[in-house]
Amino acid sequence: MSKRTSGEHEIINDLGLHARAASKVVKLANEFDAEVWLSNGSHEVNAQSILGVLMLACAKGSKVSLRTDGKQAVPAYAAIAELIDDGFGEL
Amino acid sequence: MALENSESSVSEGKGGLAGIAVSPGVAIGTAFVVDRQHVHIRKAHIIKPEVDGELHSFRGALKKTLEQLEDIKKRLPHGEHRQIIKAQQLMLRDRDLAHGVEQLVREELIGAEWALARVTEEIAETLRQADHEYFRERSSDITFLAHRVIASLRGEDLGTISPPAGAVVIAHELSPADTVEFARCEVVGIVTESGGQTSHSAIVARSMEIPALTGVEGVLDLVQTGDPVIVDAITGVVFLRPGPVERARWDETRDRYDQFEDRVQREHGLPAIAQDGTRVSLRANVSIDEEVGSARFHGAEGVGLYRTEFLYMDREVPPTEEELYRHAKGVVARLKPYPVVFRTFDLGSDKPTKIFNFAAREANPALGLRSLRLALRERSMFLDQLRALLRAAVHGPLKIMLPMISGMVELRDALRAVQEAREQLEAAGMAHAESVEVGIMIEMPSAAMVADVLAQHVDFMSIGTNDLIQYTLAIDRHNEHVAYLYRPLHPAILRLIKRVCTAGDEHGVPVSLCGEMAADPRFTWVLVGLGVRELSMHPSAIPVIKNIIRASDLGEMQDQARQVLAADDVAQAERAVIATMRARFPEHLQHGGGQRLAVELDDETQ
Repeated sequence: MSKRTSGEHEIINDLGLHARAASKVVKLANEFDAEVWLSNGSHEVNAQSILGVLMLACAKGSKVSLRTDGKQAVPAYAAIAELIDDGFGEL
Repeated sequence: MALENSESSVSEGKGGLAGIAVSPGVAIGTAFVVDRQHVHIRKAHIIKPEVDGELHSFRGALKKTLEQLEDIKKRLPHGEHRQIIKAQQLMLRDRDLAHGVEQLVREELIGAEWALARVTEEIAETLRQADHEYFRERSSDITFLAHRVIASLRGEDLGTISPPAGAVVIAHELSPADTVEFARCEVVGIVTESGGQTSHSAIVARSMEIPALTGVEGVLDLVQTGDPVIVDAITGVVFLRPGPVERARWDETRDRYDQFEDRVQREHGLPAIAQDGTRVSLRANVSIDEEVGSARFHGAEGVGLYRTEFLYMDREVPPTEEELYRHAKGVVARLKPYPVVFRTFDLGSDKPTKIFNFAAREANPALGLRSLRLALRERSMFLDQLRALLRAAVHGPLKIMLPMISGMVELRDALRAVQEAREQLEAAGMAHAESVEVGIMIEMPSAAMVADVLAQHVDFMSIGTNDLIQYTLAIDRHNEHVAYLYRPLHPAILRLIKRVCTAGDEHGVPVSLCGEMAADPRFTWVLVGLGVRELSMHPSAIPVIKNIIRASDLGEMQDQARQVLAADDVAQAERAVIATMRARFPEHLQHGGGQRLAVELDDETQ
């Protein structure tokens, strides 16, 4: 398994990182003993906060940087990266 | 007729206000005004010993609001609305929200109400700056949520809105919690000042099938609860306090619309099979991704024309193979098991792209370096797209369609490019579909004339009537001085279509049609009668066309085709189809849209 804890991912589902998708990210991020950060290039927010994630206003086709830190940084990164790459299960 | 009513009322200045029709239909009811946007925030300062008490009240208010939302959620059916409420609950539990308020209360010694308003306003303001409509509209969600918590802090209960039966709800904007009771209360219409296609009012209205308008600026200043209101959510106008005559006319319009819609929508998920068992595939024309959902919603059996040139517009470098692959893969995955026909890029000097430096404005873009001619010159860009499509075909039924073919020389060139793209993928060891159907558009008279030859080298042919008519009749239909000559039933056009159908038949190659003719109910009998078995059109036209096919018999459609083919001139052919429509499908004629045929206009002026 990859040991990555940071990288860039494209938002591919139609609605972008909208409320329901953001809920999924937050829920997943809170399952790990790790800090999870998302950035749209100008803002970095904690992915454990739905308001933060929404404020990134990531539309379809935009790129987000994902970064994790802490004890479970590696599995947290893998899980959230998969969720984003999978279009939040909406494709 | 619906359209004429609204147009005349507006022009006569009878108080019609324009808006965006987000959920179609006609509603006649009584205004019920909801005014929730204007909550006055109390800006109170506190002293240090009060901090803990203030924060205690704040946490209590959050908890109470969460419970209220839980209660609302339980009364909702599963699905989108519940998800929206769940997301709002998650926002209330957001630690950044609680921390933000706590920090302001402690450090600036202000009341929780003011602190909450400041924290949420900052979030709402950021969202209002977003490029995308969806995120801008979420700003009002945050504000609504704050108002709900503030009401709890004050010991008030906002509760839910319970309008009387037959109400047209008029508001600045509505929150999902506000709309819970709408179905039970028998709300007949919704009008909001703000919002667009993705606002909650729009989503709720569509899912409950309540006619709705958004973006009706200033309506709250002009209407009071109890006023009679007519909502025309077909054209997008609201009429306040109509007179009795106007009202009676709209009653009739509404009933006719509702009956017709019921009939057409009841069948929208069924296949387009004629009375005798003849099957016609109805597919969607798609230009942008957002239309894929609409295609599915209207019962399209896949996409008959995906216009890929939009992927090349508004940018300076062409999309990469990877980008094109991911895009096509996504579209195909969403429409499986139905096929998607991707037309390779159809760009020319008349379409805005910064990728090419078109040397000079062409005197005649329609006859210039465009479409496939451009692709064959910009071969590596063409190969990028072909490789992307061959790869994406692994994920579902995908077909490639080549535009602007004039004859065999171009077709051979283009097929060689497809073969080369395939070999490149094999050499690189990249996964791609073994066999992908490759077809052509028949949009030039030359191609129609040699369709019997072309048919032997392709998997399908699709008649593009917009260009075929333009090139055959030598008419630029965007030129107002000659637009009157643009008449699809011209004998020359009918003979060309017939010729292509015959060629397809002889060589076992399916023939489809993807111009605006396909979406026009007046031409359905003629096209099916001539032998076209696949029609591709704007998604919203599908239910009406499907309804006609299901009510018809192939024999009568072929009779109609013979009749128009035998006509000496276009007027005679038009008269024949209008006679059919008036006798068999009068409502379809009314709702079909499209330009009036010249003979219809003649009839009206006589």
